[in-house]
Amino acid sequence: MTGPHPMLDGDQSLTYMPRHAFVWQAKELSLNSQGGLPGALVRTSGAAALDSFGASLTCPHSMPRWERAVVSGKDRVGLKMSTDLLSWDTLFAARGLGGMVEFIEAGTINVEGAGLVYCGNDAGSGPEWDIRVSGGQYWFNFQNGTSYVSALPGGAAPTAGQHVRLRWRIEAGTGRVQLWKSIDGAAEIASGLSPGLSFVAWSTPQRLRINSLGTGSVGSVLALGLVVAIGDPTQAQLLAALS
Amino acid sequence: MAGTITINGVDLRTLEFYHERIPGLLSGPEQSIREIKVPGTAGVLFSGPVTVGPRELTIQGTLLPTSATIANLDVAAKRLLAWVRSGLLRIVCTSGGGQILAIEGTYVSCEIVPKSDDRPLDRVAAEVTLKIRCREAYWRSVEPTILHLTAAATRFDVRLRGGSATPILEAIGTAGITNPTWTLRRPDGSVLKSMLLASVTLDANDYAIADCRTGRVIVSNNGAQSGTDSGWSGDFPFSFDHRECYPELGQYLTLEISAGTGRAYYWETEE
Repeated sequence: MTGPHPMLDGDQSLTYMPRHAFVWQAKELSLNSQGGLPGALVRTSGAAALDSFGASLTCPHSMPRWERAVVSGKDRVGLKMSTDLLSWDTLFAARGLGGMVEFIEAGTINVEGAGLVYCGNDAGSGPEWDIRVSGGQYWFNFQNGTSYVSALPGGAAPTAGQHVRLRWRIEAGTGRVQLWKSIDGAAEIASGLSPGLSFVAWSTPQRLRINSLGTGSVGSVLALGLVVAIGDPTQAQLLAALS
Repeated sequence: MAGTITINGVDLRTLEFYHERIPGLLSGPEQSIREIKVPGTAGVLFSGPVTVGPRELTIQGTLLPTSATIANLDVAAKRLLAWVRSGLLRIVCTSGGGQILAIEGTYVSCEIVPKSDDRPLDRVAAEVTLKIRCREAYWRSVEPTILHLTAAATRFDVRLRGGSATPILEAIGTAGITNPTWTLRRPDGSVLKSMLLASVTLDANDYAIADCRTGRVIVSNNGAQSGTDSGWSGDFPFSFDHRECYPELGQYLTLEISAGTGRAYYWETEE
């Protein structure tokens, strides 16, 4: 969107970003969001991760598994997740929003019904929005507790080891949804716009999650970052938030 | 992979500015050292401490609107100026080799000169020279380095490439570890820093974090975290000093933990 820059006199304009409601990046090596929302990681068993030099180490109960990976030629660090549940106590009420998740595929795509990103209650019921696997592809779903709408971009599904960015939006007012997919830095493939869906009020508590639907349907990824913004953010704006 | 440069998260290309030269990108920071003049012909004595930085960074390139019109060049120039004069700037360079480095600074000047020999007011492109004074002497790596200490009482190399780094240290329990100690040694084995976690028992489901950036110590027992700000003794917080490393000789600082296993992570700095 464009408009007068709040720090200027009003005689100049530039493009500025919608308000980022939530930004989390693995490279900060913190479970907390940039805005300070505490992240909760739960994994009851020990599990391994690799360091920057390829050495493996077992991380105990609920210890984050930060792991190095080479992504599109860049040396990156992500959070390895398989049985891990990571969530933030945040509420995105029924409204227009957009977001992007960046990750390395590590098996979620092969688990029918597994969750990648989820915002809703812990039981996985009621109003929510999510990205989940169905038929070997990532779909974006928006539910109002009664009905749902979905979006699926074309093209091949990601395979293990590929760098994936998925971008979604829920259109303000209409409830129409759309999902974009980019694999290994390629240009985004867009889905069509879904039919509309009415918004309903959400009840609390709601949590934002990576790698599951509620506390079930757990996937397997190396998570790099997640951003959710109120409004209708562009791809460039969401990428900038994760830069 | 083509290299990119962003300022406060925005790729300069999206501002229709295409960088061509970046003097200061690979240069070392300014350095000064005190001199004490000795009367007579004996010359000078050098005296510490040596101070480093700040760094001057200049980004030169072309402002070229995608739709090349005079009006669009005016808009692009105002937009670029508005963006780079917005206070603290965070500059991120991604080299073609994939290394991602960041530095912070403030705007000094931005010279925008229309490319023209005779009619400067009627041109659709401009040469830009953007000068930034960096607050820090060194570039910081955006992505952290993770070092696993996979065995107790074993020295692991801290492979610093350029500048110093402030680590986050973690001790990982096995059955009934008490009072784990981190020890940082010089390449010759002499102890540089040592920190003891006092009155802490770490079992197989437990770990402790000592964050040298914040000076906080946190212990996690079965996933439940609690702070223990006073539960340590010795050197804390501390940093990894690159001046103790000799990469050209393959000699580095080493880090070890007395019991269990451990992990250190840090964001490297580079000249």
